[in-house]
Amino acid sequence: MGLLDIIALALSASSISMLGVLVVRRSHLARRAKRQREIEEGLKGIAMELLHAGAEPPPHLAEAERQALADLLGRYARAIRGPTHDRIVDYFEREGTVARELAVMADARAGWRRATAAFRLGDIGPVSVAPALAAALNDSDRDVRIAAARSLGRLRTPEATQDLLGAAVDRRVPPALIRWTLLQIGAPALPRLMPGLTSDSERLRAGAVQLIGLLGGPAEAAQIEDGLRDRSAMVRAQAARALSRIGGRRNLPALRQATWDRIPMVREAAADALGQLRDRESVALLAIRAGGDQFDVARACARAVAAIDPAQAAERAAASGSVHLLEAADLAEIA
Amino acid sequence: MSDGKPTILVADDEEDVRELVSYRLTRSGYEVIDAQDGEEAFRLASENVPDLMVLDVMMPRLDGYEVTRRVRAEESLRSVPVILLTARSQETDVSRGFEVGADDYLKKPFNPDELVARVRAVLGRR
Amino acid sequence: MSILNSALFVVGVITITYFAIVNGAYLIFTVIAWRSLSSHLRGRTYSAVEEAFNSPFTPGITVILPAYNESAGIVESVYSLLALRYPSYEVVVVNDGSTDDTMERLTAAFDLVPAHRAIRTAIPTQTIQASYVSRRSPAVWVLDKRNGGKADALNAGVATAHHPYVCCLDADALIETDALLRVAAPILDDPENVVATGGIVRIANGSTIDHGRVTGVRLPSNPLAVLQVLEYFRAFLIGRVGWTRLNALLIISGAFGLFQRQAVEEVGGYATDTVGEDMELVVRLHRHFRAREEPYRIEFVADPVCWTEVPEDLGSLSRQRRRWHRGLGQTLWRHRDATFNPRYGAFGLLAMPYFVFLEFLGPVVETVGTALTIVAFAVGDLSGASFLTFLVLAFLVAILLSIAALALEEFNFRRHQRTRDVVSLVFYTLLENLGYRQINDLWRMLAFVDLARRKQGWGAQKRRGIGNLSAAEAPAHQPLTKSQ
Repeated sequence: MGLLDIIALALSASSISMLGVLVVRRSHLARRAKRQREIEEGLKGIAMELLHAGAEPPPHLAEAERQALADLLGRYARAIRGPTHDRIVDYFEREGTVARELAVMADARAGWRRATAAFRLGDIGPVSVAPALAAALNDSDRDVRIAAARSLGRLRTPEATQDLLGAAVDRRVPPALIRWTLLQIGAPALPRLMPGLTSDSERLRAGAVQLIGLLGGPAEAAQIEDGLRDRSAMVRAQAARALSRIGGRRNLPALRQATWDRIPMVREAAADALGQLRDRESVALLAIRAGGDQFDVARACARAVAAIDPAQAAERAAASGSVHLLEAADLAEIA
Repeated sequence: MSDGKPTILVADDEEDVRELVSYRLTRSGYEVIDAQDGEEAFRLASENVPDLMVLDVMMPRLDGYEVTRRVRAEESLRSVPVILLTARSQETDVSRGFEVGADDYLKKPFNPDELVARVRAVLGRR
Repeated sequence: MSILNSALFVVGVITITYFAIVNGAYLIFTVIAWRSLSSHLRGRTYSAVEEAFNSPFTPGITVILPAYNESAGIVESVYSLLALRYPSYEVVVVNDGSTDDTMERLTAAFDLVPAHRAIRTAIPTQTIQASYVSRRSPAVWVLDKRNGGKADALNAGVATAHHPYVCCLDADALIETDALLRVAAPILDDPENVVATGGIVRIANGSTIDHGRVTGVRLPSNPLAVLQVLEYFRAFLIGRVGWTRLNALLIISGAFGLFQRQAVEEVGGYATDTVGEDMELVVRLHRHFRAREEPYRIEFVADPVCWTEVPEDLGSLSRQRRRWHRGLGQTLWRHRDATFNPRYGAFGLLAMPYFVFLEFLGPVVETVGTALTIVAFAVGDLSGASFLTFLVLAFLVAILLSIAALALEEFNFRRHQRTRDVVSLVFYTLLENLGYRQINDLWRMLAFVDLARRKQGWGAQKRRGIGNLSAAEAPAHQPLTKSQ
């Protein structure tokens, strides 16, 4: 028997064994899924009574049933909030699940185990796990950091704001996720965001401006207006966008000024803001710009004219023939 | 409606949410009809006019907005109140819900106690 | 006799080297794929996809659907796109000069009214005669333009896109509800660097489709389609994951790809003079960013799914493969100076040579090798006999690779619920490697004839509308999947 024959045999053997594993695993999984479903069906009533009325589950549950109940409650926990959710949290605390997950998140060797624990704590954990989750934002595994950030958003603990901002600035967690998380925390995060306005990092300044625009109110508008004069175009654009929500009459002159910014992105945001704030005085100028500026800016100017005064948009579109005004007028008519 | 219990139609494609809503409403003394998508919701509503509908916004086939629009356009269903469940919290989504004729909306994840309170309020208003 | 002997020897050495390299590469890719797929999919459970859906920070996407004589399915396609779970997107249907009632059907179904839509002029396209917006869903637009082919239609969509990202589709592709969100995941994670992503294409033949959604996954009853199921597993699950790791992914399927609009504009949009415009664009993006030494990423994502119908008869399948191979040839020829160009890193030194020598020339080597084995056997040449042993080994490795791809699918996705579907797939791995592959090589060799006839390969080629090919062929350029 030559070398080639041995190789051929080895190849065939590995193909066949791979097939064997495939078949066995498949039937095993199917059986397990079926059993799981059956157990779960039987437990639904218990779970519902627990979370809607605080009824204790019967004490004699088998291990498989406890596990299935935990899975079920974990899933339900994701869909609800308020006292009903608190009852699930209490249950998991009593059962020792929270402590176990905390231990896994801190010590497990495999990254995915730590990540799963971090994720679950967001659904089933009490607010007291927030510091541990904040610490997990420094985990070496990216998935763990992401799961921790998402869970902090579910727990809505304003104390975590600083850590979250830090994680966004050095890109430990995707900034979009951090912004979502902070949005979940809501107004209580505001005081902790304000110092970000004077940070040295332009990313942090831009992120703070954007979030204050979403979470804040007129009280913050003056400070955001300063952002229109920031040296970073990203910050200036975000400031204009923020003012479109929290700004008022007082901010109009600065926004009109910003429509002449050197950077198109800023001009576009400023034009949109003037539209949102219904600045009638800007209509004439915006209409002219809609015919001449760079594509996206012109489009924003036209959109703003239509938002302020749809009738004028149609009129000026007919007069100037600007395609952006025509588009904006057509859309305004449909809406 | 035969035994005086108000009937509520609940439509959501996520099984967990549907079960949570249905169980809670049943527990609070309502008769509940389940639907798994917008089309089924509209069909069931047409067959057996409910006293109120709780609709998820993001559903296959017909989304919650479209079901609401059709309900408002249908003579027999026109006055059935609609509460929308929305996962998205953007203002445009909420205002779109009111535009098509929804009576109230609830953000997901939702508070079941709040849901019951809203249902009572909306039913009481009629 | 000695001439024949030495000819056999030379060809034998070339073939053996070829098989060794191809199988080696695929074994490496399989290992990479196993590792990264399982961790990626495990991550799915704790990734923040739902959060992205609920977030106002998720960037908008313009979904572009080119349509040429798609009257039968266009309304259904647009409905399925309207059901996508994505926070902010618009659907732009580009009617590429259809001669049937595509336009009328769209108008009736979506209550279209004429509306102006501004066009960027950076990428020239055939004239857009009119644009319409839907009164039912204002996020649906239809551009009515002169016929210019799929690439031209996509360019028109890009030129009017309102959002910073564009998702380019085939007219008959069915995108799963959460696929847009999932294919955008790399962009949400790293918006500054990721310029393009693509999802997986699966075969819808045989499955039940309801309201533009694949509801029950079944194996096709047509054997030719089943063979393609296996082929697609291997192409998507093995090759692309590996190339993504090297940041040298050359193919994002034309059926389902997401691009940063600005990047597409910078490189000049889709090329209208090739039949492989999807691969050509991706290659151009690589060159653009590598030449400027700017950081960028082009990624394949394994979980967003696009369903497509594949040809079920030999005639259309052979035309499709011949066309794909011609497209591959055109792209490789146009960018020939990138091959072995050290400036281009893994893209120039690994991916381009891989596609030139293993994908493009592979069918020739395989066919000549197999033919000469038969000749050698006929003349009773001894070295031919050991060469035959080698071929048998290569065949066994190929089977092993097919089964590994099947196992990869089974372990990670388990889309096929019926056990008997999986059993017949196992049986088909034999058929795929003994018969189908050889026929496929012959089809692909016919592309050489096409390329030779048109001198430089792409210059004189006449423009065709998307729909000059039968509907089943429309899924544009798919992987040159064949590994060996």
